[in-house]
Amino acid sequence: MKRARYVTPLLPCILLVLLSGCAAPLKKGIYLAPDFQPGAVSEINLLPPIDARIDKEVEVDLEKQLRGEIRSMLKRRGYKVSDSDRVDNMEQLTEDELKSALPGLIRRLGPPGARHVMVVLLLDVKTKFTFGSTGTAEVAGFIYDKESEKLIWRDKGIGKAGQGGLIGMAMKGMMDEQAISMANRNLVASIPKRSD
Amino acid sequence: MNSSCGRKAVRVSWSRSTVLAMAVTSILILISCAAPKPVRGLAGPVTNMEIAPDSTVLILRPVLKFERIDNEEPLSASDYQGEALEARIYTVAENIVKTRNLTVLEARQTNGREPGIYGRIREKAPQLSRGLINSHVNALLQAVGENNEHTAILVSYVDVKVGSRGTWNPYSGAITSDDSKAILHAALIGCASARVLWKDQVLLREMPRTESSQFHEALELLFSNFPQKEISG
Repeated sequence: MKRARYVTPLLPCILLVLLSGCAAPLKKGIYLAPDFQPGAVSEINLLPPIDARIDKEVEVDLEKQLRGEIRSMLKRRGYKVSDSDRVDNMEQLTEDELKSALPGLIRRLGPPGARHVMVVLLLDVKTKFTFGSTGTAEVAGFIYDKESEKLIWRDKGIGKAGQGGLIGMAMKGMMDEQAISMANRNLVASIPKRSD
Repeated sequence: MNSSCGRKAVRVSWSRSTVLAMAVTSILILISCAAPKPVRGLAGPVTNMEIAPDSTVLILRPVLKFERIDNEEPLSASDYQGEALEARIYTVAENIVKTRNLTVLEARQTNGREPGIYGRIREKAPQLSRGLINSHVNALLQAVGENNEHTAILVSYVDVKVGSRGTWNPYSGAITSDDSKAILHAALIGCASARVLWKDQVLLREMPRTESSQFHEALELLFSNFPQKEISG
C-alpha cells in the first residue's frame, strides 16, 4: 500500500515518457534547407506529377495515385495545398534539371503568385510474379521557394510491397498501387510537420 | 534367391488433380525464376545521321556511378566490380564500333591533344551520355575535333542504384523483391559540330555483374542501334 502511494504520482510521468518515445521521428531527407521553417510555408502549390519512368509498362493514374495521395499527406502534416495546371514542356523536365534548381527553372514552375511549389516525379514502378507477387516503386519530390528562387526540400521515396503464396499471386494487380502508396508515404515523411 | 523376395512393389497412383497442381506449381516456379529483361527507354535511340566514311571514333572510358537508391549516398565502385564492369563496357563498345567499319581512335594517338582534355570531357559523361551539351563541353569537343572534323566521341555512363535485397516474413507471408537497378546511357557526339549523332538508354533491373547474362544483354541492347557508316561514292 505504501509503495503504491509513491508510484501513483509517477504514473503520468511514465506515460508521458512512453508516449514521447512512440512519436515517429522525422525521416532525414536528402536535402532540407537549414532555414526551412514550416510555419513560413503558408501554402504548397502542387504541380502535376511527371512520369519520368523508362519502363512505362505499368499503368499509373498520376493524378489519383500521386497528386491525390500526396495532397492528402501534406494536409495531414498541416500544410494548406493548392493544385496548379501543367506548365509548358513540363513532361520534358528531368530529375537532374530539377536537382540543379536553376533560378530560371524555378521561376517557370507554378502560377506567378505562388511562393512554394512542389514537383513530384514517378521514377519507376514494377510488379513481379514470384512465389507470390511483389511491387516496387520509386518517387522523387522537390519543394522550391519561388521568392528566394531556391530548392528548400528534396527527397526520394521507395515503396516495396508483396505477398507470398497463392493469395499473393492473385494480388499481383494491386502490388503497384501498394508500392506507390508506400513510396509516397516515405517521400513525405521527411517534410517537417507544420503545427499552428 | 530373388532380391525382390519378400518385398511388395509399391505402386504410386497420381490423381489427376495432383498432377495438375504439380504442373501449375512447376510453371509458376519457372515464371518466378525468370530474370527481368532489360528495357530500352521508350523514346528509343536518337539517330540524327549516318556517319561519314572517314570518321574516327574515340571511345572514352565508361563512367559508373554507384549510389544507394533511397538516399543517394555514394558507394565505392570497387565494392561492386566497378573496374571489371568498366572494362566490359569498353570492350563491347569497341567491338560495336569495329563492326560498323569505323576507325577506333585511341586517346594517345590524337596528335598533340593532351589526355587531360579527355579527362575533362569524361567528367561530363553523365550529361554527355544523355546528349546534354553545354558551352563549356562544347569548347572541349571542338578542341578535340580541330584536327579531324569527322572525329566523334563515344561516351558511356552507368547509373547504378543499389537497393536492398528481397525479404520474406515467415509470420505474415509478406515478401519483397530486390530493388537494385542500373540505367545504362551511351551517346556518340560529333566533336566539330558538338552534335549528338546517336544516343540510347537501357534500364537493367538488377545489379550489373560481369558474369550476368542480363548485363550482357543490356549492353547489346544499348548499342544495337549504333549508326552505320555512310557508304561513300
